[in-house]
Amino acid sequence: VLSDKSIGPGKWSDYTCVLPSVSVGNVGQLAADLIISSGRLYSVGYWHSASLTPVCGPGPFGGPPCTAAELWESEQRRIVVLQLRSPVLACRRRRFLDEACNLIAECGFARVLLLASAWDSSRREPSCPSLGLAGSPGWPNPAPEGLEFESLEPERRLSGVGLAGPLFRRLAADSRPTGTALACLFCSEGDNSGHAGQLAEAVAAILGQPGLAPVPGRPLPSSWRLLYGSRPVEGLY
Amino acid sequence: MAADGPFPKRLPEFSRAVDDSEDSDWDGGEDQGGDSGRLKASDVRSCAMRLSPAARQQLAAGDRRVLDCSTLLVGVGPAACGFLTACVLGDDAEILGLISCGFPEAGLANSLGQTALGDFGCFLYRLKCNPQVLVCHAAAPVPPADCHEFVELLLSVLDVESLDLAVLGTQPLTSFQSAEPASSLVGPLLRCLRSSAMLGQGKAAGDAVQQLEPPNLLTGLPAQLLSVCQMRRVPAAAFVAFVAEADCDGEPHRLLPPDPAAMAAFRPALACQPLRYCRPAWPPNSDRVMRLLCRQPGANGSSAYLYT
Repeated sequence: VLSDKSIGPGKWSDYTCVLPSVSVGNVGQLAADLIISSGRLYSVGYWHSASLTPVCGPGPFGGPPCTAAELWESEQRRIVVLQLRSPVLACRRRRFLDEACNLIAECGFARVLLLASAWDSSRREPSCPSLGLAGSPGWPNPAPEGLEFESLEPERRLSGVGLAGPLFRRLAADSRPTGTALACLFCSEGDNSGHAGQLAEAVAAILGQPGLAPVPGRPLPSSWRLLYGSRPVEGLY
Repeated sequence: MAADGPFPKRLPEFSRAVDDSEDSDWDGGEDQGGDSGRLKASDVRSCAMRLSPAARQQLAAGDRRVLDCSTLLVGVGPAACGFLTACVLGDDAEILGLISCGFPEAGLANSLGQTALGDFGCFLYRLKCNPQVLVCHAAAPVPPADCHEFVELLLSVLDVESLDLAVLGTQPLTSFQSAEPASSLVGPLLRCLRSSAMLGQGKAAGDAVQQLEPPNLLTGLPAQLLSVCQMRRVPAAAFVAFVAEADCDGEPHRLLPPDPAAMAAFRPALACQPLRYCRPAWPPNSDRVMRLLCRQPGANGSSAYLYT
């Protein structure tokens, strides 16, 4: 981790790490952007990994250029978001899992909350809630009261979640962090901005941080502009 | 290959869905921490750097084992490399080394004499008239999986703390995201993305090149270079020209000189840091340019085309 601020051992020992996965409709990554914006997190560094597809672009919140993996922190809320902006290289998925687990262990997070999305067709029943949750033995009940969700078995294979499933199983079996949870939204691909908001609200409820929920009327990240294409050509119809 | 029975040998699957677990028999390629014994040799990739005797001597002579360099210019793709050749490099340059990608074993690299377009080496040059300026030509495609190692190798022989960097590259015009319909875009378009260090030190002089608008992104080697410079606080600028797809890098069989219009797209970058301090020559001497760019065997002095 390359950081402008000193990250010594134990600095994040009571923090929760929110880590999205490249999955259906990029819902986890979009939700992470909403959490960063709503929670007013600030950039504290970058994760320099050889396992991620290289990308670089204008800062989505108007700040410095963004890279493939960035760290955003809120001291007040005791959370760190490890935002991933590009997919894992197909030939380095296992290496990525190793690197992610090592990074989480080195940073000493108390809990890790993985964000992902799965294909709508992988729900057990159409009537099941669109939110699925799984918790490790160290965090068996991540859902607060009143949150509708489908309980996911840790060994259940979900289609479209990307590496969130393998990473969850790896972290759950590890002694550090203390607790790991997976929040997964069942959806299809299309305009997934609403799904991202739904997942961000679920994260706010799980962490007991209402301030992380998207605020209506707040400007969206500039990276969301034209996310679903530009306007159609006039005269096409 | 002889089969063990009446049926042909079954080939292992190479493609996997994104949600396959780590328990699968095959994970699609390089695996640093897993069962490398099941990987084919051709799937283990690496980059290798070969330096000239003069460069190795300079590295050995210094305390920090780095080459003298205050400015590094990197061209990615035929158009960017052609532009740097025409306007900066000229024919007064010294080859310091090259980087080769895709070899199954680390340490292998083309020889410095393999300068033909088809050899796909990425050469590192020093300007004789301005020895503090190094130019790297990445005309050959560098796959995303090799970008990390390529940049680590390149920067390992330089003093990053006292370096200014510019990387020039191309991306397809069709990938440029704009509120206007794609059919109304007229290329080539030139955009710039600078690291915080370059902006912070007041080095982003002038608005000669428009800033890259979100949600557009850099990809490939330019993205990796600028990312590393952003992380390591190196003043750097990436100039990306959105051009017709045929003029972008990524075609290993392309042995023809780059399109002059695609090369000319980078012209506004000459007014920006750090290029303007490299004393570029514009307009370039057309005969010299064609001589430099036409490295195909059998090409005459006025045309690079074998068949006219």
